[in-house]
Amino acid sequence: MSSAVDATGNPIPTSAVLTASAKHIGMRCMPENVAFLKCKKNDPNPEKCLEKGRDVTRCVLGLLKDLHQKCQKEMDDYVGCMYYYTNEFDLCRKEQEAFEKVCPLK
Amino acid sequence: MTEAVIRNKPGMASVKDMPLLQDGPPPGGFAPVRYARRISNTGPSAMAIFLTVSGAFAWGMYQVGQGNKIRRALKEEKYAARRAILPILQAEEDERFVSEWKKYLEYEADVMKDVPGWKVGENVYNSGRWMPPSTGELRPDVW
Repeated sequence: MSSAVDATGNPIPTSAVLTASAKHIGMRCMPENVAFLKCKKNDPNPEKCLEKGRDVTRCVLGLLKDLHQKCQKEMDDYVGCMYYYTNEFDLCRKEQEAFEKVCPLK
Repeated sequence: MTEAVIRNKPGMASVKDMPLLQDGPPPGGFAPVRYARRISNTGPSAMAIFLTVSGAFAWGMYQVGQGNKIRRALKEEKYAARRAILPILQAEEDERFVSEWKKYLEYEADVMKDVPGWKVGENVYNSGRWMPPSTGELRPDVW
């Protein structure tokens, strides 16, 4: 696949998109992630943790859309590089720096 | 015949009186040839060599440690990215699994509706923990 967005302009959570925004996800969606993992550790039944899972999905997809709107070109370049090099961080440093300059990690 | 012609001495009585024609040293002998060893004793001492080699070894091991630090940082970056995206992947898979499981339970109820005493819900283990269904296939639609 050659594009990071679907027909309505939302970023598709493919592996390239997710690894490209992994640092942002780890920083901004950490409460939801931790809550979901705690729920899973408590009880691995999928039906019990659906609500927290929906929180996680909402947070991450919203974050992806936000990132894509703020720094579209840099994110597309970084995602393209990630896709080309199969999610290898060390081979995409240039695009990563450009991306983090426009959409900082805070 | 030829030897007698070459080494002829005028007035010789027989072949046995021919003068000698030998390859020999020049008059005065050859120049003297040196055959004694001359290995000089200069150069670095044993301690100097030992210190140089162990210094090179120590510097090399230090570089190995620095390289390991860099590699460990790269691996940590990769693992941190995986930890960050694990929850959303698991959440999406949970949603998919729950809808598939509901469909399966309806199918089971439909198949076993005439069997008396069949608890159409779940028929799994008694430990109280949730175990994944053991059909032998993780994703039948993908296979």
